[in-house]
Formats: sequence, structure tokens, C-alpha cells
Amino acid sequence: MKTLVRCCYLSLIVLIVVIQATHGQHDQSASDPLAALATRLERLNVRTERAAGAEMLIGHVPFCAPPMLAQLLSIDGADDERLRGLHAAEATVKYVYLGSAGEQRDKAAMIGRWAWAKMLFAIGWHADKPSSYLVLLVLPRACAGLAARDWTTLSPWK
Amino acid sequence: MRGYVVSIGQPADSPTLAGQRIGAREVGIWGVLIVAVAFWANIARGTTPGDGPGAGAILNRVLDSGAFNVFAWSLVFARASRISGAEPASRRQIWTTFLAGGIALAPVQAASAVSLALLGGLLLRGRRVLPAGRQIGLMLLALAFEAAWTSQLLAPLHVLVGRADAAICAFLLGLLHIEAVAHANVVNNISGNFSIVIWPPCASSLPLGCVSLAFLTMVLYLGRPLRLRLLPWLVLAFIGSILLTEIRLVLLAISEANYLWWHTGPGVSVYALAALALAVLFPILATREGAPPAALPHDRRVA
Repeated sequence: MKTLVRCCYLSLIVLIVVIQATHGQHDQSASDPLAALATRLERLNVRTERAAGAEMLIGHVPFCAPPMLAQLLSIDGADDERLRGLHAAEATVKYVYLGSAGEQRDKAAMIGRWAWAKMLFAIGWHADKPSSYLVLLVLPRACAGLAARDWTTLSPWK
Repeated sequence: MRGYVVSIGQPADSPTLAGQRIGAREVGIWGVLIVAVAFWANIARGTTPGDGPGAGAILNRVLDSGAFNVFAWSLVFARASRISGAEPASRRQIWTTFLAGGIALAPVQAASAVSLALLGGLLLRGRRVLPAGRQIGLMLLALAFEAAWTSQLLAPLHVLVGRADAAICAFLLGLLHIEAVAHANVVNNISGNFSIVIWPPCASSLPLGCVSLAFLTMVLYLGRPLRLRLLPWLVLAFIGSILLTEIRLVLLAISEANYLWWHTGPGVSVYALAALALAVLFPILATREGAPPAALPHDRRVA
């Protein structure tokens, strides 16, 4: 009995080391989240270019002359300063995070969704580590079809 | 005289079974070992995006984790052999240790904090736990608090504090006749045409977890009993830490040269030393007026 308990405890220690070590490598996959966002936008037929000197993408859609903007913001609000000046009257703002998109940003709901997704990832229920960045889209009002699009694929969660 | 130990509260255990059961002390040590491995594996793995692989990066993360983490764990292991008596472990202790280990398997910092808190609570509430075991329980709870306090779940709180810090920093710069304004968590030094962004790791609230751990570690290291009258000193330690952070932020926001010196240059060590000195000072002041540690009986010597 003693030996069995000891073996179980020792196995737990070995498992902890193995799981932490493998997940450490897993975390390195998304090293450039802005590049990953650009790839997802390209899949939605949005041609992108990086704005010089800013952590922002400028997107061009074939049927819409004015460009759209996309950027990643930390869900905890640490880089909200970058939002200053973005809310132009002639644009619609969309916040996309883990399979949901809305024109209002609900920080508490986002943190809750992140915590839930992180827990599912931690117990191995979900393979992808949830991002701690939300996607902010600034869409020109001149192209009404843009706001109606399904943008949730930019921050997917199944 | 040696023999089988039979717990009075567990009549179902025959003397043979009790003899075969693992000891409470051993389970306690296994528990501490499990949560320690999980704690340090989390640090070695890296908990923030951009933490790189490689032995050098891992070593840096361990060194950056803070002197008081190392100190606290040293204290825990130094007392682990006196965690409880030689009686057999209860089923509750065995299974709670398994549960703590199971939770610690999850590769997130919050899981490590939960397992530390679980084991700490078990040691604090255990009826047969020795005083050294209760001290270990307290240390584990303090480590859990620190891990939870610095986890991503509480980042929004530190963002809010960072905004308050920015406003305080702009106000202090104004006192120094430097024109500055704060927008959200950004301090814009208009006179110097320079601005800084206060991220959650730089907010004045973040070091408070470490300050409380340092306070507890020092008090226990000095061999003083924990009393309610120490609480005002802990609050003073918090205030001292917040003031030190505000001074650092002001120094960072004065100019780019200042920023480089204090953020990546020798100023980093100066700040770390000041924070360390402050963390040590308050527990020493708090225990200075207290009663000296109880004298050992004449027939007992400290090895």
C-alpha cells in the first residue's frame, strides 16, 4: 500500500514536469499574432498591409474604396490608449473575441470567456491556447456590407 | 517502544493495516514536493507570451522570479521534516495531496496557485499537524496568493491601478515643475516630449503579492509568532512598496535617458535592491518590539 501511494505521488511529479515542458513548447507557436491575423483576413478576401510604426493592419476590400483597420488589443485593457482617435464618425467599430463579434466591448464577459477557454485548454479539452488579444476592426460606414460580414473567424473558438 | 499505531477515531483500521499505511510526515513531504515542482515548472515554462525556450531563458526566468520565492521555498523545505508526527496519514490527507497534485497538472499559473492553497489549507486545519507544519501551510498560502495576484486573471485589476499610477505620476511630475498629463495608462511628459506606458507588470499593485510573501517569510525566519498587531506593519510595507513604485515611475518618465537607465540599465539593480531592503525592513521593525523567541529547554540544543 505504501509503495503504491509513493509510486502514484512520484508519477504525479513526473507528469507535472512532462506536461509543463510540452506546453512550454506549445506556447511558442503563435509568436507573431499580427501575422496570424493578417493570414485570417486574407482568407476573408481582405488584402492587408502593416501600418508603418503602428501595431495595426490596413485592409483593402475589392468592393470598398476606403480602407478598414484591424488591430490586436489586450483583453485586460492594458493598451486601450491606442483606441484614442480611432472612433471616427464615419466608421463602425467591431470587437471580435473567441467566436463572438459585437459593437460594444464587454470587458467582464471577455475575461470570463478567456478564463473558461483557458480552463478547457488546461484540462486538455481544447487543443488551442486561447489568445489574450481581441481583434478590433474599424470598418468604413460607406460599405454597409462589411459590418454585416461574419468576422468571428478572426478569433475563432469551437 | 515500537509498535503499530492505531488511531482511536478510525476503528475500521486493523493494527496490521495501520502499520502498512504511509506516514503523515511522508505524505506531507510528498505534498510539498509536488506543489514545489509544479510551482517551479510553471516558472521555468514561462507564463507570459514571448517567453522563449532554452536553458538560458529558463535560468533567467527562475532568477527573475524573485529572491523571496527562493527564500520561502528554502524555509518550507528546511521545516518539511517536522511537518507532522510519525502517525499514519489520514485518508483525507492522502487524497487531498492527490487532488492538489492533480490540479497542479494543468499547465497554468492559476492551477499551481489553487494546489498551493489546497495544501496550505490542509496543513493549517490539520489536527495532528505540528507547529512547523502550520508555518509551512501559511507559507504555501502566501505563495498561492502571490501566484494568483500575478496571474493573468487579475491583469484587469492591475491595468486599473496602472491608470491611477499614471495620474499620480503626472501629478508628481507637476510638483517637480515638469508639465505632464495622463491618458489611461500613459504618462505624457510634455516638457520632455516623452511618454511612458504603464503595463500591468509595472503597476504599483503587482509587487504587493511579493511584499506579503516577504513579510511572512521574514517574520517566520525570525522565529516570531504571527499576531494581529503585525497587520499595521504589513499595511505600512504595502504603502512603502507603492511609494517606491511611484518614485520609479516618475524617474522613468522624466526623460528618455532616465528611462533607459532605470528600465534597462544599472537602475534596475538599484530599484531591486531598494525593494528588497524595504521588504526586509518592515518585518524587522514589526518584530523588533515583540517578545523574543521562546527559550529552548536546557536539555535541548539547536543543531
